[in-house]
Order: sequence, then C-alpha cells, then structure tokens
Amino acid sequence: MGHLTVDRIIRFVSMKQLNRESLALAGAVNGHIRKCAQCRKLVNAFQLIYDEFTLLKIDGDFHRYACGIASEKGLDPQQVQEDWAGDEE
Amino acid sequence: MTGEKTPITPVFLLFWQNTACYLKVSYGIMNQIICESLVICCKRGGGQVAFSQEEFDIMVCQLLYSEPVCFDMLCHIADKTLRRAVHRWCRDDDCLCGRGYENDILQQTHLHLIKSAVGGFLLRDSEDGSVNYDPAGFKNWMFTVAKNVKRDFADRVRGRDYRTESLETSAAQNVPAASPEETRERIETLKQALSLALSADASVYKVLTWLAQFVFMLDSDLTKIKSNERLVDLFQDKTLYEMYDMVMSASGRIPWLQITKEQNERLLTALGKPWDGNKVYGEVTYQTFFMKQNGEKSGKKSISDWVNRINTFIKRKMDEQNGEEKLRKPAPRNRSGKRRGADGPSDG
Repeated sequence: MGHLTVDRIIRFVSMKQLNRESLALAGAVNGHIRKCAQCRKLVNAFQLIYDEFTLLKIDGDFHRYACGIASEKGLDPQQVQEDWAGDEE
Repeated sequence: MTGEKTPITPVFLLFWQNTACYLKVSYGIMNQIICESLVICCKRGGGQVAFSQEEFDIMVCQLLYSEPVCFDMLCHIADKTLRRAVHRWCRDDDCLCGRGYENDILQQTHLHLIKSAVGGFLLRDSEDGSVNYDPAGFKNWMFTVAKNVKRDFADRVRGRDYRTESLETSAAQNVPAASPEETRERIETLKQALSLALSADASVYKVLTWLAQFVFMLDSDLTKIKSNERLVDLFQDKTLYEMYDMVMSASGRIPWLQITKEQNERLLTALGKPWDGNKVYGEVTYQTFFMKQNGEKSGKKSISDWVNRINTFIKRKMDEQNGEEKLRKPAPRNRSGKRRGADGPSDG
C-alpha cells in the first residue's frame, strides 16, 4: 500500500468548501487513512495545526508553513518519501 | 425418483418462500423495534433530534468499508441532528439572528465532519484499525464541531460589524464623521463600481479577479497588496469555476452587496465560453492566465494589472455617468420658482 503525499494532506486539511474536486480529494484521503495509521496520524496532526491557524485567522499562511515543516524534515511535499515506501494511491 | 421429486419441489419452495417471507417480515418488524428502541435522542430545548442505530451503522459502513468512501449518510445524520440546534443558536445570537447564516454554518459543519469523521472520531487513536463505535459520543462530537463552527462564524461577523461600526462612527472622531447619508452615498458608490465592473467588457478572469479583491477587501479588511498575495495563495491552483464559487460565497456575507441575477448569469455565461478545444474558461486554472516574467508566472503583478485596468474603466465610466447626471440634473430654482438656465434666461 502506498501513502499520501504531504501536499495532498495539506490540501485536504485546508479544504474550505465542498465541491466536486474537494469531495473527490476527501474521498481519496479518507479511503487511505482508514487503512493507514501512519497517514492518519499525519493528517490529524496537520488538521490540528490548521485549526489553530484558522483560529488565529492566519490560515492563509498555512500552506507555506506546512510546506516549510515538510522541507525541514527533509520531505518533498510533492513526492512520496522513501520511508513511506511505494507509490501514492 | 426424479419424477416423484418434481411435484414436491414447488410445494417445498412455496413453504420455504412463505417461511422466508414471514421471517423477513418478522425480522423487519423486530429490526424496526430494535432500531426505534435504540434511537439516539437528544432532548435540547424540547426539540427531539435523533438518528437511529441503523443510520449510524450505514454511516460507519459508508465511511470505513465502502469503495469509494461515501459521505451521504454522514451529511444526512449531521443535517438531521444539527439543523434545529443551529437555527436555535443563530436565533439566540444577536449578531447572527435574522441574517440567514444557518445554512452556511451547516455547510461548514459538513465540511469539518467530512474532514474529521474518520481520522478524528471513528479511528481516533486507533493503531490496529479498531473502530470507536460510540453513537452517543459521535452525536456529542458533532455538536462540538458545529458549536465551534458557529462560534467562528459569530466571531467573524462580530469582527466585521465592529470594523464597520468603527469605520462609520469614524474615523469620524478625528475627521468630521460621515453622516448616515454620506455612508449611504459611499455604499451607493461601491455598488455602482461593482455594477460597472460586472458589466465591463473584459475577460472573465479579470472581472473575477476584481470581484474577488473587492469582496475580500470588504470582507476581511485586507489592504490591496495583502489581498493580491491572498488571491495568488487562494486561487492559483483553482479553476475559475471554483474561484467563482468561493467569491460568491464570500460576497453573500456582505449584507448590502447584492449581485443581481443578470450579473450572475453574465459571469456564468462568460465562464462557460470555450477557452480552447477541450475546456471552457471556468475549467481552466487561474494561474494559466498569469503573465510570464523571466520564465516564471507572476501572479501578484498580473492581479495588480488586471485590477488596475478594471478600476480605470470604472473611473472613466463613473466620470461619464456623473457628468451626464450633472447635465440631466435640473438647475436649482430661483425664488420665483423658475429654473435658472434650464428654460431660457431667468426673469432677471
């Protein structure tokens, strides 16, 4: 089983409205996290941070911040990392 | 032997079908009784809001086991359970009362539930995939989510009302305050600008950009430069249709700002026009239209340029209209009640 990319997780947690595209993304991410505890943890963690950003009304900066964290950790937001072996679903 | 069995089979089948039918009916009745007895009710303010065990099971199945994941029952349960409560909260809140935010709050709650029902509730802290099967807990959790959404909404509305009030009461403590008439006049000017921008003979992405900036500056109290950045962040990966949806939704939060049906239809028609052989404008991502600068796409610069163009158009049109209005405006009457200059030289 593959894993979600950081970019996809970021897009999922920062979804602001329901439309065809966001529902498809929600379906894909939920479909993955129900089977993958690692990604579920990551999604929950990002969701918490995003909610804090929203509370502080700086959610516009979340994407940049989250990508920053990812690159600090040596993760390329666009790609599946080696420790997350396999291709994205 | 075969011949002997043949007449028996239909009788057996008949018996079996009847039994199965009987069992099915009994099972149905039993099931209904069980479900009804297990209906999860919450009595708040006298209102009964409920979802059944069966509905909860279907939701769990749809979220955790169906391919693809389905959110229908989740939204149904949320709607059924929360709608009346949200209406009551809005009714009881001074700044939300009578402003029609109920559906927005429910919509946002759905979004939150869709994002977190699996990871944040059903499989919360679950290492081995065990399900947090707790219908009553789920109901409470939904209420918490909805309350938070409502609180955020109220905060935002309160903040905006406060800003509007402080702008109206002024800035007017330093400078001679704007009278209600002046405030009304300003709003009329903004409305006029909006109407002109929406009628501008410009590409739909430029009009949409202007509208987005107009709405976000009013809604979020952003400066123009900040709003340029925000527009790039928010929309660069979005299609024009998505951008349209978001802007329209934001515009709904500004009570006096009303985009007419005709203006809306004009926008939608423009979005439906073909962009290339395969796509219409609405399906193209916003950043496709950004100007290229040193090989890179320059979002902020493009946005600034498009907005300035529309602003120039608006200013020109407004000047023209105001000029015409001055010409049309009857000249002030003199003491004898005759117009000066309007109908020939005055008596004097």
